[in-house]
Amino acid sequence: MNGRTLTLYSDLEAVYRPQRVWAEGRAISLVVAHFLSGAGAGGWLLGLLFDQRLVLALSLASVVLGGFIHLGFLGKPARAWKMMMRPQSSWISRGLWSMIVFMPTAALYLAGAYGAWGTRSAFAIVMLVLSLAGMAGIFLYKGFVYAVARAVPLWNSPLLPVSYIAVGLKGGAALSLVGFAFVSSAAPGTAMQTWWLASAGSMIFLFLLELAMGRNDETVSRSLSVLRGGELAWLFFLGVVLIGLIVPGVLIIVSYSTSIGMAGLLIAGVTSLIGDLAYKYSMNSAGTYVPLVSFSPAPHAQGRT
Amino acid sequence: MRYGMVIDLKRCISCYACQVACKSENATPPGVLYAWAFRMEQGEYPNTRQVYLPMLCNHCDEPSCVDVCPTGATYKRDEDGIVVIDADKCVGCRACMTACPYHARYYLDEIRGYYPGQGLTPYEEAGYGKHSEGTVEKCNFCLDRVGNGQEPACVANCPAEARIFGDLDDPDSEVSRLIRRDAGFQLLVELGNDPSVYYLPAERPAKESR
Repeated sequence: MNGRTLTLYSDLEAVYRPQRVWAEGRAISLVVAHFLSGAGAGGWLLGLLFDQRLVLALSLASVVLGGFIHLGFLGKPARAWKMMMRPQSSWISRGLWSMIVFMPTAALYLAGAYGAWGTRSAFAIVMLVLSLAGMAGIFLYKGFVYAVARAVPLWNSPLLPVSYIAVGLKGGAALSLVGFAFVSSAAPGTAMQTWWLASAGSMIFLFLLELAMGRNDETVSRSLSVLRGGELAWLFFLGVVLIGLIVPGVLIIVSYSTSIGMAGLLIAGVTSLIGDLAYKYSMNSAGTYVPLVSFSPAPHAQGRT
Repeated sequence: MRYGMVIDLKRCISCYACQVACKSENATPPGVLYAWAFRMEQGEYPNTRQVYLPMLCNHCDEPSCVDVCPTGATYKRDEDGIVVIDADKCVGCRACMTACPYHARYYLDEIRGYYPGQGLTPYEEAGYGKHSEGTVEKCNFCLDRVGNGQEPACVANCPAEARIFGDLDDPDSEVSRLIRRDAGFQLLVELGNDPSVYYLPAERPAKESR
């Protein structure tokens, strides 16, 4: 019997079964894909707000790369087009439509921004509006695709989609900082740092709110205990908190009073992005299925702790 | 018509015949269990007992797996309420697996034999033809058997006659009668899926036999 089968049998005997299908093995490509497209959508918004073509290009590349990496997760990638068939009920379907709308329209708008037909023409404005619609769809689907899973109470929260929008905006701000680091002539000003702080603050606030709302749900408590002191604690505290929030947060706060230079911007952006990726992975891995039956098991049957 | 199953926990003797019969009928590769059993100990020593809960796809009336499927590969049949997967449409996104609270679905990453290093047995070669790598699989209430007027394999092979299969929409069917008489219950009813698999409690007063 191989390791995967043994894990399966162990899971089948656990009261609190860990969610593994979107967390382990090739599922890492799903996490990376969701992270990249979320950050790309956030970066597109901020690139437009700050009129930064390089940020727009990075954001588009991020979404496109995310889309391709997503294909690597599918069992039958050649059939990916079939995922367009159920937008009436499936958030994955809606997400794919959003990507399909976003990628070409964003590329055409960007081509205009680089001089092909400008950004003020009717065509460019139509492309801009469509790309914004696609961006909004990408923002929304990312959270809802998890939030609809009633079997996994950690995800099945009305806060999760909002929380993932905040993560997307934080990722976008981080992507923008990376972009600014490569354009030495451009100074990001304090507005970009404020965007990062606001989105990071929202992400923290929403996570804490989710903690508070879920404290009476035993399954959510189990999930959170995996993040707090279980097998994912090192990733959560090192990756999400230290690398993703504290390091860039300190750099950004310092940058209000003194210049942190392009290297500082780059470090803040990259560490923030690493933290976002760690957050996505942590949330996916901490997902735990609702127990089949509600009664007190013997201690050794508790499943993952 | 809505096919459903009743599992009598008082009759079940935890023999795993259902699991073996299912594997034999469907030739499922290692790591795929359309029928499985949730087993756990309840209570504290010395007052403990083993709880055994045979599981399978619950063929829900409001299946959350159907809503999340982006391709329509998973659907509920109008004629009998059986939830099935069209392997030709499945892209292997596994959204249905996150949506199903009953651990009824399995992703078939690769088809492996039961005897590593020795290739597939003739039985495996013959049986694995109906499985498709890179897709999700699950119990379909032995659709072929039911279509031929037979019971699902797990029902037909239960030596304790703990499994009963029938039409939940028919108030006079045996399944409906047993659910009414013995207070049949569904698992995780609070999630709103309205499963078509009912359990009869293990602890209940003795009544006339079926």
